[in-house]
Formats: sequence, C-alpha cells, structure tokens
Amino acid sequence: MGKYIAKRLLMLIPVILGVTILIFTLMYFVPGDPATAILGSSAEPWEYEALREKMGLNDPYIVQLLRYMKQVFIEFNLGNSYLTGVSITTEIMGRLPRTLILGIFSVLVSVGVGIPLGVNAAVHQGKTGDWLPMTIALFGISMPGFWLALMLVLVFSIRLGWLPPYGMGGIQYWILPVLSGSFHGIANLARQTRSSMLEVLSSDYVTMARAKGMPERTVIYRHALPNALIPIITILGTTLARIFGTGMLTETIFSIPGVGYYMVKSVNNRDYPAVQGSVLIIAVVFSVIMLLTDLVMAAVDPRIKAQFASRGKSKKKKEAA
Amino acid sequence: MAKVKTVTIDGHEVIRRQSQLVAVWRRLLMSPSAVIGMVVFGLLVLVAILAPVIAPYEYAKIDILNANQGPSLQHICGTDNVGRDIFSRLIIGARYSLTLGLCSTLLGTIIGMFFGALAGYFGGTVDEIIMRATDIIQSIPGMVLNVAMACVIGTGFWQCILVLSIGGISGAARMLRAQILSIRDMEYIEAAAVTNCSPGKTILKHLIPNAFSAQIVGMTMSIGGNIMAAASLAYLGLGVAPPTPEWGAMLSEGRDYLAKYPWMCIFPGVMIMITVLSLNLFGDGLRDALDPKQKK
Repeated sequence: MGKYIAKRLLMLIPVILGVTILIFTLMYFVPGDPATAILGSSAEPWEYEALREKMGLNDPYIVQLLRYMKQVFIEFNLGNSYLTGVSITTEIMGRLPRTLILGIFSVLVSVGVGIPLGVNAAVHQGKTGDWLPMTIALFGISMPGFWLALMLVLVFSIRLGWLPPYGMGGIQYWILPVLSGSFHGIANLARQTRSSMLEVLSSDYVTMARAKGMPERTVIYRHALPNALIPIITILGTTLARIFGTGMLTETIFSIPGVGYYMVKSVNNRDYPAVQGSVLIIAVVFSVIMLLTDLVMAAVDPRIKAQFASRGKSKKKKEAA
Repeated sequence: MAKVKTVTIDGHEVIRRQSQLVAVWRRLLMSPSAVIGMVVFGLLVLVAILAPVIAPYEYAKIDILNANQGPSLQHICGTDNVGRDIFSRLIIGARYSLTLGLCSTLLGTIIGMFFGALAGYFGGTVDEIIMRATDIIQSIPGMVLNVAMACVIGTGFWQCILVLSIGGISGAARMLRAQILSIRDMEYIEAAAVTNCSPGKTILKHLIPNAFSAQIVGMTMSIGGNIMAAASLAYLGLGVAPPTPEWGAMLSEGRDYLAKYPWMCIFPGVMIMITVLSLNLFGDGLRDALDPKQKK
C-alpha cells in the first residue's frame, strides 16, 4: 500500500506542472493588454511601457513561464490581482474552505444517498423501491444543476420560506447548495450502482452465499457490493469532476464567496492572473481529492491496486476520470 | 433475438446473413424507452427546423403592454419582462441549443478520435504523450475548463461551440484509444498490415468502424451534456448572450424575476430537461442494442 501511495503521489507532480503550463499558455494568448487593465485607458503611453517592462511582459514567453512557475512553486505566490492589486493567494485561501465544504459535503451526500438507493433498487428489482427512485434519477441526470438550484430556491425559499435563498451563515444556508450540488451525483451513482449490482447479484458466489444460509444483509453488503464497486468508482470520478466543476454555478446562485465564484467574477473582470490562480487551485484540490478517493477505494478493493500495478504493461487501465 | 432468415438458392436453403445495422435497429425498437427517447428527440429536431412556422408569435417582438403575463391560452408559457412570448422563444431557442449540442459534440469527437487513433495505433511515445496530455486536461473539472476556455476564446455562439468541443476531446480520445487497444491485435488488423495497408487506411477503414459503437453511445450522451454545459455558460454570461433565445441565456434573463415571474425560469429549464432526457433514454437503449452480450 505504501508503495502504491508513493507512486500515486509522484504521478501528481507532472500533472500539476502540466496544468500550470497549460493554463499559463492559455492566458498568455488571451487578447488584451494587462498594462491597460491595471492603469485604465487614460494613462500616458510611457506609463504603459514602463509597467510592461516592470512586470516583465516584454520578456520572451519561456522566460515569463519559468518566472511564473518559480513564483508559484517556490514562493507559493499566485501574483496580484490586476483589478485590486490584492494578493491572489490570500484571496483564494480565504475562499477555499467554503468551496471545500460545499464540494466535500456534496460528494458525501452523493455517495451516502446514491449508492444505498442503487443497492435497494437492485435488491427490489421491478418493485416501487426500484422504479420510483430510478425514474427520479433519470430526471436527475437530465437537468442542469443550476436550474435545479433555481427551482429549489423558488420552492423552499420564495414560496415556502423555509430556507434562506442565498448568503452565508448557519447550517440552513448550506442545505440548498449541497442538495442542488449533489442531486446529479446521487442520480448518477444510484443508476450505476443498480446496474452493476444486478450483474453481481446473479453470479454464482452470491447464490452460494445465500445457499450457505447467510443473512441477506451480509450477502448484499459483504459479498455483492464490494464486487460491484469498480464501475461505480468510474462514475464516482465523473461525479467528483462535476461537483467541483458546477460548484461555481452553485456558488454564484447562492452567493457563496468561494473559489468558483471568485473565478467567474475574475473572468468577467478580465482579471487573468486571478483566473489562472483559481484554475490552478481548483485543479490541485480536485486532483488531491481524486487521489484520496482512489486510495480509499484501493484499500477497500485490492483489484484497483492491481489494475494500477499492471497498467504500465497491459495499458488497459479502466479510466477513473 | 432476431429470427434467422433463410433464402433458397438453386434449391438449397441458405441462411441469409443479416446486416449488423438491421439487427441493432431491431433491438433498439424492442426497447420502449429508447423509442420514446428517439421520437421525442426527433420531434425536437423537427420543431427546431420548422421553428419560424410553428412559433405563434414573432420571437423578438417586444410588447410592453403584455409584459410579465403568466401562462394563459394566448401565451402558453407566459411572456417575459418585455412582453416577448416565451413559448415562441423556446421554439426558436431549440435551434440554438440543439445546434450547440450537436456541433460541439461532433467537433470534439472528431478531434478526439484523431488523437485517440494516433495513440492507440502507434502506441509507444506517441501514446504516452497523448495520454499524459489528456491526464492533464482531465485534472481540470469540465466546467472550470469551459470557463477558462471561454475566457480565452471569447463569448458568442460559434465561440461557445469551440469551447465545448475542447472539453470533449480528451474523453473521446481516451475512449477510442481503449477500443483500438482491444482490437489492435485481432487477426483482421494483422491481415491488413500483411497486405500492405497504409496506417491511415487501416485506422480509417478497419479500426475506427470496429471501435465505433462505444463512440456513438458516448456521443449521444455528450450531446445532452453539452447542451447543459452551454446553458451553464450562458447563465454565467460566458456563452450565448441574451437577447438570443438560447435556453441558458433565457434562464439568465429570468433569474432576476424568479420571485415574481417564475415561469421565465421554469420553462427553459423544462425544455433542457426534456431534450437531455430524450437523449439519455435513446443513449441507454442504443448501448443495450449495440452490446447484446451485456444484456441478460
């Protein structure tokens, strides 16, 4: 296990370096002049030129890239916002906890509700416990999360007045964001769990376990579910990506000052270093959470570890993203 | 299972070979949900094509006197804050949303398949480079990548297609590569190589057609995904901008009136949901039809 963890951690490094290069290169080619963005349009021509020189914008691409990488990875500094001049690292670190709370709780709710629903549906195939949640799940994967958020606000905040429509505060402020953020995940996981459980439930070892007189609970949770996990984990990967991606829509709708909200605001303000920093931080957080998920799963199911170990030779790794 | 058909040639009964496509089509028709999905999506495409004929009102006509009316017989879905008929706008909007979904998926899949084919066929360093590149891209959540790309490419209809297609490249590449790896060592590919078939021809005529079934299911699903992503971008003000009646843009217009005139937000979302739902039903059915082994 230790070797596996070390290997996965090492693989994280080139990915994060790659993301940095990619996002720097993209922002490098964005039309528009940072000097104009900072000084506005009313400064003297020599002022723009001086600022460009001072910021090193006249240097070749590769020099600028290396300087940015050094600044990010050695000094842990994402630069300053064009708009406000405030350090982006401080801004993002202040907002990160809220994004993490939203993301992690959405993931937990997705897994905690989605998988049991799927198991229940597979066990009661064809009955109300199967078709009703599965029909809802089908609608769940077909609606945009932000629209669901708007509808939840409409029903629970505006019409019923039970929950606050936006803002920050106690636990009641988090219910709607987490619900709308996790609904797609619940639906997707429930569907996948059901279909892969159905496959496993008809296998010989499940019949064997039942024939031995094992309690049904043990059969399902000890014998069937662990064997049905691999396709579920593939879906969990896409669910995580979705939760962390659509998080910024959720944050925008509920006015949660998180990293995603900051990023959307920065894009609208053409504040490129802030966009760059946000994408980088979201990618790092997302990669680390994916890694943690994989590690937990590898601890649960040794087949995943084996899959990874044989990856270099057979190149048939099941994609987890 | 489809029945085995026999024909009589020169007095001998011979089993007639059934086309793969016909077999898949038959299996597809056996699934009611797939048929419903297909019919609904077909209707939506028809509505989009005939939009100006069907729409009861001029979609951009402002009528302040009739602004903010709830659903009624005159205006099935009500009118918006400047009195435009929402139903007509939704119908015209089908053109934008469906085109966005279809074009971006097609473009992304084609580019992705190009890289996937290269990686799968040549293997080695080419494969390694392409796969590491997709690793990097996939470590950025889809929507974050879309927003970053919208920041670079810009906003608007065609820009939005380009933005969304970039998001689909790495997925399509990985999928085709995995498929090609599973058939690369088959005898017919070996035979192609022995008969001096060029790599380009082998990929196009032998590998891709045999790897296509998974791809087509993926494409069906990602049309729906891209329609939702396009709506999300428009909602954030980074996609198609109002007053274009794209469904996401209509949602972003309606957001400020959520409390007083909720129909401005409800109906565009319902349209998105119907479209994506029909595509999901169709995609599920198609997957089962293309892979009868999986279905028990």
